[in-house]
Amino acid sequence: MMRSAVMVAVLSFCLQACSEKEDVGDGKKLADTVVEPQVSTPDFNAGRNAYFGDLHVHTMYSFDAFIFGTTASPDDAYGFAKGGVVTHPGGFDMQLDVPLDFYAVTDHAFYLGSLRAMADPSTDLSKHEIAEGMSELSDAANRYGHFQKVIAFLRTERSSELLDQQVYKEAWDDIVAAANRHNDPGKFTALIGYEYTASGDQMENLHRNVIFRGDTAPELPFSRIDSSNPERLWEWMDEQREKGLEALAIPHNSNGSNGEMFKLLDFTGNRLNSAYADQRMRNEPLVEITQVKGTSDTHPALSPTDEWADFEIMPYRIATKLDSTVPGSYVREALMNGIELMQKKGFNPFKFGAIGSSDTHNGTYAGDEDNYWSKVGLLDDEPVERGSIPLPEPRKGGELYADSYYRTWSAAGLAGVWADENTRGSIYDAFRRKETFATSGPRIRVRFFAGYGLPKIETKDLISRAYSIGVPMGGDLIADKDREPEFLVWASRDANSAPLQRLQIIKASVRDGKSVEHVFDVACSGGGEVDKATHRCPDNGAKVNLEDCTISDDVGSAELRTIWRDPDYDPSEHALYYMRVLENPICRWSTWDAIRSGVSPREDLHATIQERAWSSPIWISPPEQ
Amino acid sequence: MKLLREPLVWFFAVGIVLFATDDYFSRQPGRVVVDEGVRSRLDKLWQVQTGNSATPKELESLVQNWIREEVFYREALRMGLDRDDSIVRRRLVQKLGFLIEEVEEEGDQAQAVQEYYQVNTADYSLPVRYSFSQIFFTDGSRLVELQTKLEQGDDWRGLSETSMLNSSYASRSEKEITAIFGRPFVGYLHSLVQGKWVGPIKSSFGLHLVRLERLIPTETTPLAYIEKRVYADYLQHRREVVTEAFYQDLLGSYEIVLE
Repeated sequence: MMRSAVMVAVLSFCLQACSEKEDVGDGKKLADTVVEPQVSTPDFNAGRNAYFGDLHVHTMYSFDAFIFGTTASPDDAYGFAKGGVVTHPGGFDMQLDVPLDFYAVTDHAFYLGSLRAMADPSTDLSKHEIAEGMSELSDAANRYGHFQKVIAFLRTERSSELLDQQVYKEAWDDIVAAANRHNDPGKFTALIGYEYTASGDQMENLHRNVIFRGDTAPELPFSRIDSSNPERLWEWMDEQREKGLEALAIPHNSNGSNGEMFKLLDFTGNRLNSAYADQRMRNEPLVEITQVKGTSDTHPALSPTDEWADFEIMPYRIATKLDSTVPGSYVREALMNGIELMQKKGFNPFKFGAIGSSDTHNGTYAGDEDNYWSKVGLLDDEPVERGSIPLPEPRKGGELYADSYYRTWSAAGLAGVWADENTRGSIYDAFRRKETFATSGPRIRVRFFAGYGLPKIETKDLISRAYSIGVPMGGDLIADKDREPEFLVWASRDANSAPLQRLQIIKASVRDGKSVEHVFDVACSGGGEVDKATHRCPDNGAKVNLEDCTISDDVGSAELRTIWRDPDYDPSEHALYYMRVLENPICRWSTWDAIRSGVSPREDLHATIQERAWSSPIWISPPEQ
Repeated sequence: MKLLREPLVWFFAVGIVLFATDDYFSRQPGRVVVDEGVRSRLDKLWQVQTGNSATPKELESLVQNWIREEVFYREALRMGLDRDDSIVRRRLVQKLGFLIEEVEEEGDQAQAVQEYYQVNTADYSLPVRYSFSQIFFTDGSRLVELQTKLEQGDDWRGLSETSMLNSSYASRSEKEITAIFGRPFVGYLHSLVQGKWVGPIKSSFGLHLVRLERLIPTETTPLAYIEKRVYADYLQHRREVVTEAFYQDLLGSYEIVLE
C-alpha cells in the first residue's frame, strides 16, 4: 500500500517537470501560414485539369468519431490523403493506391474535441456525469450505447455543460494549423473546414460542411450551439466575407432530412423569396449528392422513368432508424423546383453544383467496393456488424443479420473539379463556378459544355474552343429562338475500375407551369446506337460473376463522347441539363464481404451496382422579355 | 557516460530509490513529513500559477492544504480506493509512459539521427519517375500505318486518336502511371527505351506507342532539408523501441496466469 503512495508521489513530481517542458517545446502550436505563390505551378493548364478530393472527413476531434474509436488526428488525415498510412482502430492499415489532390478535414464544430477531453481523466470535462465510462469504451455495442447517450444529452437544455471553450479553441487551432502545414501548392490542396451539424426537432438532417478559401480562419466556427437555423449560418458567413474570410457551405445527406433540406418554406415556415434565394446561393453554390450514407441525386418514387434511380438509397433520418420522407430530400427534385420558382417568381434558391465526398469518421477517405474499410470506426469494421454476413446466432425474432442501418450505406463518394492548377485559390474558384462533378468512388472524369455551334467531337483543340464558344458544367446559357444549343458530353473511365457502359443526359424543364424530367442515353459502349424512340442504348451484356466478382473484360468503353442535341428542345422553357455516366456493373461491397466470408450475398440487398459520375448542371433560360 | 543515457539504467536507478523510500515509509506508518522538498515544490507551483514567490503566510496555507490532501490521500490508499479503478490505472500507466519518453529525450542525438536516417533512407526517397510521350489508338490494325508515318517523320502529335489522355507526361511515378493507365500498363515500363517509340503497349484505354523521354532515378532527400521530420521520426521510433524493451523486461519479472 505504502509503496503505491510513494510511487504516485514521485511519478507525479516527475510528470510535472515533464509537462512543463513539453509546453515549451511543442512546435505544433505555432500557427504556420502559407502564402499562395503568385506564379503558376508546373501543371497549370488553361484548358483545366481534373482534380479529385474529399471535402467531408472527420477525425478524433468529432464527438462521434472519438466514441467510434478513431484516434486519427487532422495531421494524420491530411497525411493519409497524400499517400500516408493510418491504422484503423480495428487494427488494420489503411492506405490509398492513388493519393488524392485535395482534402478538407470537416469535424463537427459542436463539442469539437469535447469527447476526447471527457475521456482524459485529467480534465474538468471528465468529471461530468455523462463522461462516465467514456475513458473505458469497449466493444461496438458499448460504443453505440455511449454515442446514443451523448446525442440524447446534447439535445437537452443542459448540453452547454459539455462545452469547454479552451478545449474547443485548441482543437480548432490544431485543425487550422494542420491544413496550413499540409497545403502544398501545385501538389496537394489542404482546405480549412468544419461541419455545421444542425438538425430539426425530429432528427431532420440539416448538416452542412463549411469550406474556407484561404489560410486564415475565424476565431471559432459557427456551430449549432450558436443556432440550429442554417439561415443564421449564412448571415455569419456573409459577415465573415465582409471581413475577407471567404467560405462556402455544402449541404449533405438531404436524403436523411425528412423533407427539410429543400422544402419550399424557410426555417421559420415563411414562403421563399428572392432575398432567401440570393443569400442561399451566395453561400451554398454546391451540394454533396453522394457519400457513404447514401446517394441523394434522386429516388425511384420521384423519378419513376429513370431506371437507374434506385442507387444506394439510404431511407433513414441520420443516426436513427426513423424513415425519412422522400419529397424535399433529393437534389434532382430541388433543382426542378428551382427552375419552376425561377419561371413563376424570378428567383432560384436551388441552383446547385454537384460534388461527392465520403463523410468518413476514420480520418481516411473510405475505400471502394472491393476495399471497404467502414465509416464509423469500431462500429462497422466487421462484415457481421454492417449486416453483410449473418450473425453467429440469429436474433430473437429469427432475423439472420445484425439490426443496423449500415447495410444501406455505400462504399465511397468523391469530389471532382476542373481547375487550372492544384492550389487553394484555383480549386476553390472551381467550387464557386460549380465546375465540379461527383462520383460514387471511381476517378471517372467528365467534361460537359453547352453552346451554339460547338466544334465536331474529333476536333483537335476541342476543349479550348468549347471554353471560348460555350459554357462548362455549372454555367448558364441564354436560349436563342433561332438556334438550338449543342452539348459536348464526354467521359473517361477510371483505369482501375470497370469500363463505361452508357453516357446520359438528365434534363428537367418547366412545361405548362410544371417541371418534368427526362433521361436520355446519348452514347453507348462498344459503338452501340441509341434507340431514337426510347432514347436507350442496347444492353451491352456486361456480366458479374457472383462466385468471385470477376467482370466481363470484353464489353464496355474506355471513353464515351458525343455532341448532343435535345430532340424536345423548346427555347421558351426554363431548363437544366446534367450528365451522368454509368460503369458496367461490379460487385457491391456487401457482396465482396459475403464472398470473402464464404457465404451467399444477402438477398434483400443489391448484389451489384453500377458506379457512376454526375456533372453539375448547365441552366438554360429564355431571353428576358 | 553512455551508460547514463540508457533509459533502462535510469529505470533501475529510479526503482532502487523508490524501494528504499518505500521501505523507509513502511517503517513510519502514520507519519507525514513536511520537509524542504515539499515546501520548495509548493512554492514553485505557486510561482507558476501566480508569477510571485509565496509569502510565508501563503506558504503556511499551502502547507496546511497539502497536509490535508496528503492525509486524505494516504487514507484513500490505505482503504484501497485506487484498486480496480480504471481512471487511476490508466493515469498511472500514462505517467509511466511519459517517464519513459522523458528519459529518452535527454542528450545530444545528432549522431543517432544520422544513423536512423541512413537505415531508413527509403522513407526519405522519391521513387523512380518517367517522362514519356504516347500515341493512343484503339484499332490494332493501324499499327503498321502508324509506324510507317513515324519513320517518314510525320508529327507524332497528329497521330493519336482523341482522348482525355495527355500526349506527354512529365516525371510520373509508377503509382501515378497506374492511376492514369491502369495496372497492366505499368508492367511494360521497364521495356521502354529512351528516344525510341516502343509498342504497342496495352492499357485500360486501348493501345499505345510510347517514347521514353527521360528516366529520373530514385533520389534521396538530403538530411539537411528534412532534419526536423527525421528527428521526429527518430524520436517516435526510439519511444516505441524503449517502451517495448521496458515492457519485455518487466514482463520477465511477472508470472502471467491465464485462467
